[in-house]
Amino acid sequence: MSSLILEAKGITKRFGNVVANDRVDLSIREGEIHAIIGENGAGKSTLMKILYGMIAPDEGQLLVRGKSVHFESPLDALSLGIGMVHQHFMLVERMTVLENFILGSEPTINGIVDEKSALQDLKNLMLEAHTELPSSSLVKFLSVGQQQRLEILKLLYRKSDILIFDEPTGVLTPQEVDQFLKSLRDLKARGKTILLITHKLNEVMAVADQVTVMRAGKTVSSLAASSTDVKELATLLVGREVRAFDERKVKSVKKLSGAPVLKVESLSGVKKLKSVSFQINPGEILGIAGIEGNGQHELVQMLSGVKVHSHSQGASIQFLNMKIDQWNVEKRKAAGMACIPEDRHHEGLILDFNLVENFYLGSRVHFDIPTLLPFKEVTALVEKSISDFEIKAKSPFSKARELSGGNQQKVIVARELFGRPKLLIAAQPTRGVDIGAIERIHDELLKRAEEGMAILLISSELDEILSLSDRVLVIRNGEISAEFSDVAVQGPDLRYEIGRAMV
Amino acid sequence: MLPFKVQTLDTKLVGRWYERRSVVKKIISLPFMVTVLVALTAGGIVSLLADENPFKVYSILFSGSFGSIEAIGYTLFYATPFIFTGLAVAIPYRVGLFNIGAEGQLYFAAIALAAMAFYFPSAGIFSFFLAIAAAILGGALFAALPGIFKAYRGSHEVITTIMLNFVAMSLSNYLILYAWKDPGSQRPETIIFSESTWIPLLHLGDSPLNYSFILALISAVSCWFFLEKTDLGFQLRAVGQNPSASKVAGFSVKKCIVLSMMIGGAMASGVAMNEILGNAHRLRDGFSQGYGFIGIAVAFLGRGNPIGIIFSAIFFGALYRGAGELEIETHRMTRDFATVMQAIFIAAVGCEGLVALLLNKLKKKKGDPK
Ligand SMILES: Nc1ncnc2c1ncn2[C@@H]1O[C@H](COP(=O)(O)OP(=O)(O)OP(=O)(O)O)[C@@H](O)[C@H]1O
Ligand SMILES: [Mg+2]
Repeated sequence: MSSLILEAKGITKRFGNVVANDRVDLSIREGEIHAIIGENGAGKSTLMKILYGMIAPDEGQLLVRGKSVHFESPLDALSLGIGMVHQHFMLVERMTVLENFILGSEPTINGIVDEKSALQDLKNLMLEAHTELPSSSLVKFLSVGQQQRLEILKLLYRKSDILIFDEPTGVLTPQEVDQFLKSLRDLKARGKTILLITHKLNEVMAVADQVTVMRAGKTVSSLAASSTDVKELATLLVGREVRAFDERKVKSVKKLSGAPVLKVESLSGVKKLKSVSFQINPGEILGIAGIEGNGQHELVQMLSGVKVHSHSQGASIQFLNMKIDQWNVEKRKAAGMACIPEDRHHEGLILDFNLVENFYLGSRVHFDIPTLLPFKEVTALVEKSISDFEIKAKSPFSKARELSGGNQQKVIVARELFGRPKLLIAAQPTRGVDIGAIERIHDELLKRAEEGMAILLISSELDEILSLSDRVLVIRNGEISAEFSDVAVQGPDLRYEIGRAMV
Repeated sequence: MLPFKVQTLDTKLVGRWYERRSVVKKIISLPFMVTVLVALTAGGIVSLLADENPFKVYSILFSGSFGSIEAIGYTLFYATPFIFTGLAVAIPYRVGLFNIGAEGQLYFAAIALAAMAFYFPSAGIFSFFLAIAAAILGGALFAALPGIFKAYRGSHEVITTIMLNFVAMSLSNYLILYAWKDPGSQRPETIIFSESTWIPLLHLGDSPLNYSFILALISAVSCWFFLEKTDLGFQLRAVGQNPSASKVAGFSVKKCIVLSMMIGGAMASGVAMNEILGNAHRLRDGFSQGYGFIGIAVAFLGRGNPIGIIFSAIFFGALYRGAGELEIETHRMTRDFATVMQAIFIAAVGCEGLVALLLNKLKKKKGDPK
């Protein structure tokens, strides 16, 4: 048995009156892939930030290779070989791959950056790690997967041998996920130790040696991956049995009559979207499957009114029999549209605003004469959402930044459902959300659909599409490449065919 | 021995007050106090270089600015333009714009105001309101220009506002030197405007403090209320914090940019009211001593918070007034000391982040006796 490389003993961390970590113990063996799972707000990110020296614990002890340590800053952690890849990458977008690679630990000759040796180092490392990145291109032109690989290279360059990943797969396409998991195994083969936070239990089963489950700030159990399965992990995680992700809860299909809620005809965008047509009926869930970056974002923007489309031939958007092409966002919202945008930090929330302000941000049109802010009313609504959706927040006046990722997402979902919309555009509605909460959100979406709300579900998770949609469209290169109806009947058998239509 | 320091503070503070507290803390934080102390020390060194006892200098500064009713009157009179220009910088800043053009905006407002007072002198109370309205409108419209350039053409507001400063100042010079020059005066200034346009004095001693100061206070409180309590103010703040999320929420980023600049310009116009209608009663050369630029420092010292700006403006006003006394009471120091202190404070405020960083380092060193 290999020795313990990293230990946490009795770690406690409080934020105000929230106990994010409550006497947490964690033991990591050298050379293993150790998965940490737990519900949203269980304290996983907090624990990782403590291990990485980003925040100091209130109580407890850290041991690296058996020696007690005390981190002042991530620099101390880095010097002991502990590196972290954050969920939101820490790259400078306007600098090149090479510049980002050496940023903070530049090789120098007489105080001048030695680009030649830096480039050589980068090339050597890329060779070792079997990846290829354009060293002179700006980071903002890299795909998400490439940026992540750059983050890993950065850690390797700094000689880290304990690598911490906080929800690394949430933003990756399925292909990139496979590649990422492969690179984790590579790293392990090279003797690195890996800590991996994820909400996807199949990823855990695919790569992890050991799994630690956290609940409500505590570590509830730690077991060998070989001795457990997805079902058991899910139960441990939530504290009750959950429906597996690909198990379908049958929506009572009442054929809801009436005109289509949304009718889109030959809609084209300026970037990707090419002549897309479809319609959604009341109570219907229409899934848009496809690899990310194939025009989904533009579609959402044009439907929600963020981008008003140019007058291309014959294009039209009809909502409840009204031609809404030229309507702005507010007007569309007031008429009964709602939208869960895909990037919560960029488009969904204002991180330095509190929850009341963030709720108001998206639900503003539903309040009478909004000259004065109706914050009393909104506060009551936020309190209700907090209990309805089990959002873990200190108070309605907590800043959105202080919530864990999954809880931030729940705030958006609650907000968008508040106005009883007739159409919900839901882009990646459960990204970064734990399995218990996914079930909760899915149930809510199904319930609303039964009541007549139409849903346009855009997701890169095929499982999510298959478990919710009545009908599926596949989008590829900005065009609808295939349509599958009666998903409820055919169920999982469609998986292969849809997957094929995506590439 | 625990390897970590135990933090128990904050755990009992809950709910709303806990959230609120952070606002107060932001304004009067430890780094802030240290910054002020460092600036005062630096000012002390300057006075030592001038062979004056720094304690004496500071006590003259203090008694000169707050020592009597009249002194207070002067201090507040000097603070008035700083409140206005501080707001002129702070409001656009909340939307993410850096308004360097308050000087030009207050000049343009002064021109608009003077035009009304000059051409419609005998309309009684009506001339007064005409002048005020023209000033506000003039300032707002002149500030709208760079806002529109920014929103629709992407021109950087720092460049355009600086350029427009020269436009407004040159125009004002031309008018004072030629078109509107008082033929009976040796100086470049207009005639004295009709008494019906004057803003009454507050009569604090013999000081020129007038009702413009009250207007400044009302403006600051209104700005605070607007930003924190109204829907439109919310939109401005949202756009300043996260433009893309604001777009998704349906806010017009362009509208918010132009609107914030217009509010800023309208605030700058208050300077024209104070200096022309409240004090000199005529437009004259150099009526603003760079108030628009000092407004930048005032806004930053006040943390961009309208209420904070009232206090930082009074501080700057006290400096101005006190430095005037220095000139009389010491042998080697002139009122330029106010400018020196102002520069020191601007530099110090700019370094506050650094101070916070150093303080943190210090705190950690103490907690960890390696
Ligand atoms: N800076 C902060 N201020 C206040 N509370 C915080 C802060 N950071 C985290 N918390 C709280 O601590 C708890 C744990 O948060 P953490 O981010 O560790 O959760 P998590 O397990 O990573 O969840 P998720 O899966 O949603 O990312 C949450 O209740 C969160 O609200
Ligand atoms: Mg997290």
